[in-house]
Amino acid sequence: MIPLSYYIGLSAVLFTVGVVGVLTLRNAIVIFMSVELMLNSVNLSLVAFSAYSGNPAGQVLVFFVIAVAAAESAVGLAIIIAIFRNKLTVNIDEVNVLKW
Amino acid sequence: MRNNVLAQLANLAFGICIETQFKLRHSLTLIVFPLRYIFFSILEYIEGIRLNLELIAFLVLAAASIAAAILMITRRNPVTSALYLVLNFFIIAVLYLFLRAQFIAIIQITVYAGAIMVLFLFVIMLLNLGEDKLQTWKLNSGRTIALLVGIAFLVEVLYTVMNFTTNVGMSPSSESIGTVEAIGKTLYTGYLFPFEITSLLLLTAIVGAVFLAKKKITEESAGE
Repeated sequence: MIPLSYYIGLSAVLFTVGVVGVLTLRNAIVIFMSVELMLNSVNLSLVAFSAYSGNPAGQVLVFFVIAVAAAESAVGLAIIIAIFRNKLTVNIDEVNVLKW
Repeated sequence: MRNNVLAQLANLAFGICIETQFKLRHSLTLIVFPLRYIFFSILEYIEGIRLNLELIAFLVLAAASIAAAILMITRRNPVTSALYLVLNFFIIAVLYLFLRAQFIAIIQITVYAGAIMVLFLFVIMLLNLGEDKLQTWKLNSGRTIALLVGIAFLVEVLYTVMNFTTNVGMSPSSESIGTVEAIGKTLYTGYLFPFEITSLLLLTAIVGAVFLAKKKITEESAGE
């Protein structure tokens, strides 16, 4: 038997790796991948809670999260392509037209 | 008792598998093997959890998924990062199977590792970033702050998890709630309206993605 806190701990570690990736990386595509990693870690904790409490609602929520992640990545990658057309780079340090 | 002997054998087998791969490069494995034995013994002593095959497999998979995640954010080439993320998604799909969530595990592989990551790889190869555009990983002040924030966040969350002690085992009904039947029943009764809204969201995403990514038709190019 695996304690529930092990799943939550793994989820927390993966989420932190995603946060550090978003904060430190400069390539917009890899930043997007880090966001996907964070979504995944939260999905893992949702499924764990669902299985340990015996309620299928948590897994239904994961289903919705996956649908939203698919929509988010399609729109996000389209935005990255549009930025690349204008700037010829995906380095977010060089995309600073909205800087104050 | 028999279970425990099996667990030790499995531990040994995992160790041999992992170490024969590294032995050619590192002699560090001589340290790693006793360390793992000590780690498992401490775990057994403190947590009072009998080692079993499931727990060993979970710990190995958890370590592998964390390693894949860290490798993902430290590689310079985006294609390598994407492949490590796919590896991470597959490991999480196996963990879903441990939780008896069959449907979510399959969705994870088909939608995440299949559709979304292929989209990512398409975009990476479409943009065709040259060698000079690869990211460089230099530790500057901003990154140091980011790492410190990340470590503080990890400590905070893990502290909360440590205080969260429940001895509830997996629910007896967990075998039946992960099936397509149970999830479908919940989805189409209690969550029908969000489900329909999801279709609208996906439609909007398709239209938005096509609009954003299409080439702007200017007067000159339209005349050609």
